[in-house]
Amino acid sequence: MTVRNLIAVGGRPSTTAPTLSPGGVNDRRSFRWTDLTVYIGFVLVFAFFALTTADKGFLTVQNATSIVTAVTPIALMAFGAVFVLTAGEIDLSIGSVVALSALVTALGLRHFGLVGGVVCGLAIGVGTGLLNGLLIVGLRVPSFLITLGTMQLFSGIAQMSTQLQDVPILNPTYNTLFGSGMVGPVSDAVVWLLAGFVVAQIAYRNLAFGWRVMATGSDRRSARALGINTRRVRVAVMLISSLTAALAGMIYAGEVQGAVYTLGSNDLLTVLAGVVIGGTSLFGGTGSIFGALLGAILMAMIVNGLVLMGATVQQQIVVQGIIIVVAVAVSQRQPAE
Amino acid sequence: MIHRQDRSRKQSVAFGRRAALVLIGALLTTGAAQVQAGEMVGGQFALKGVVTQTVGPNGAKGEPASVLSLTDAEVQKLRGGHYSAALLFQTSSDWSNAVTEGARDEFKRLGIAVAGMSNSNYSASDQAHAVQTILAKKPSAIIVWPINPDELRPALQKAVDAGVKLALISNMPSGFQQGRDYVGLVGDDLHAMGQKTADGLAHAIGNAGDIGYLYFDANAYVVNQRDAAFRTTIERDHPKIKIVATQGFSDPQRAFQIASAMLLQHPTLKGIYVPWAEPAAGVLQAIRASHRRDVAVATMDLSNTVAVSLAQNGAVKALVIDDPYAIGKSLAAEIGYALIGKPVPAYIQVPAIPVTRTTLLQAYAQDYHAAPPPEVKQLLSK
Repeated sequence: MTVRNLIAVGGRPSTTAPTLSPGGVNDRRSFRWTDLTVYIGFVLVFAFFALTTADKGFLTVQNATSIVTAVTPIALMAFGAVFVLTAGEIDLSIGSVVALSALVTALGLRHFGLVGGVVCGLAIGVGTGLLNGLLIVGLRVPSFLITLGTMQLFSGIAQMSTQLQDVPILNPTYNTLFGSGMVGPVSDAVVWLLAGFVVAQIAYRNLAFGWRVMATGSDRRSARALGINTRRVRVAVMLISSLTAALAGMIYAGEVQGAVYTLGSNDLLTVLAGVVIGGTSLFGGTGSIFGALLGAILMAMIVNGLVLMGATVQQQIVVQGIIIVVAVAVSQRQPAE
Repeated sequence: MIHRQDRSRKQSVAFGRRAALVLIGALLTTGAAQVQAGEMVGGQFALKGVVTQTVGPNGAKGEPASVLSLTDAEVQKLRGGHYSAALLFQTSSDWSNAVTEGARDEFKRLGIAVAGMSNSNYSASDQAHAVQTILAKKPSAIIVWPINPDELRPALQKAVDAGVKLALISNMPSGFQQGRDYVGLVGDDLHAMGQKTADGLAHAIGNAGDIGYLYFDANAYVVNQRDAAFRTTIERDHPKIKIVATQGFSDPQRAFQIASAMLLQHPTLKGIYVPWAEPAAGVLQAIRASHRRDVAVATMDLSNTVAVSLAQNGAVKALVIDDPYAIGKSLAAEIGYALIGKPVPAYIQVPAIPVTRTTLLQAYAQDYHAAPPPEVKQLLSK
């Protein structure tokens, strides 16, 4: 039984976690192999590269660090995107928020020091998220259209903020905390990745908020009938999305030790692909944080493996495209009408 | 209300399907378009092309920007003409900012108003639209940095037919003739940029050892020429240096992953070449992450991140820039020449300038006409 069915029969959203299902929130639903797409895809891709590029360094700790470093900002944005898509919305502005938060953080560090820089970056996340959310519910315009506009708006502001110049970050504490430090043999980005996963997973699966998001995305009218403030939920998911994008921008800035307006500009498709492959529905109502994590790692692993194999840019793009088509065709296939 | 909800739901489902198709289509068409690229352009030229000199249109030899000069009487004549000009760039960058600055300063001196500016984000079709849009403002002249010169030809031809003077940066549609179709072309010494970057890296690693070569695997004339010139110089002039790792990229954000793989697979690397400053930031990140303090980076164009590395004696050991301010100033002067009927030199070429820690502030001031960031000044004062 899905959330949609629960609501349709008058069931009240519960704070209790439903039965785990890779495809999202399902309760004793019949098993479908397609729900395992991301797991099977992950194992197959990993096995393929482990076999073909083991002698080229694929299975080394250094390479794992490289993958984690590349995947952390993408995965954080993917967690936010799970909330947004589950609520039946979409956020196209995340790439622009990445650049804006990175630049504002770098400028904040320059003028106000460590705390000021971090606060500035997070403030961008809160501000852009609230703007997106309030415009969507206030103007009653689809999130696709609003965030299409704010994507341009935020990007333009990012470009104007420094007249296109990049801003170096020399604050060693910031750089160490946000991606350039080490935890044992691996990048401290792994801490952000794990912390982001745990927080998102709890919020999505164990708190009432997660249920409200699913209910809103499943059937907004029924959700309202159950007393859920769907407007507030929709604003909240846009806020979460922007906050994760802002955090991703701050981690990019720490990793590169600088910020430039092009940061994150190509991340949107990668994030959406990872989330959708991970089992989150583009139609709202269901999703999976763990699936998004695996989907994001899968995307990064494909690039990493192909680079180690010496594939050309064109081959990388084609292979990525094929894998996405196959994965999406399996995981997102709709029932026959 | 119920109907509205149902319709909304259906629209949502339909949108979801469309979004999925767009997502898949975008990824596939990007790949397909790149696979269809012709021979010896883009990344293939970077891999196999040989660049031993920079020649202008129809084999014209480059002349320095200093040959362009207008007398006081000519300037007065231009100031009385109430002319206007537009600037159309491939993209926004601090390089294009510096070109704009040079052009604006010269236009101001000549009394030519700036009719508009455009950045087409590397979209050739957007740039063609930009030409048509700006023509509505009836400018006397247009400075254009063509993304795909041949694709831009129809739009530029309309401008030519309307009597607009065209001044081009670095490249032009094939078959275009100076005087008939455009007034002049200004570019940088692409061979010298690649050569000096190669020589700088060779010097930094003691003229021997293994290096990695990141090249731009997309059709971009200037970058492709510079990449090939770097590779040609290493292969011809530095026999003890071997390019043992070669990898193309089209997304500068992938530079980190590529450089990480190079460092992982080739522990003997003593240096890495990367075409320009933005991907260089990813290479620097990879070097830091792999704790390799012995790897030198060679790149081109000035950015604050690269400048910081140079200023703190970091990994960037070879940096070569052109003179974008002089490019902009020369383009504007060429338009001035054309508007008063003065013959324009066939090809103006600005020099390639190696930048060191000592000359960093000079590069900011003279070639980019920009103030260095406080971080660079702070590091240079140590």
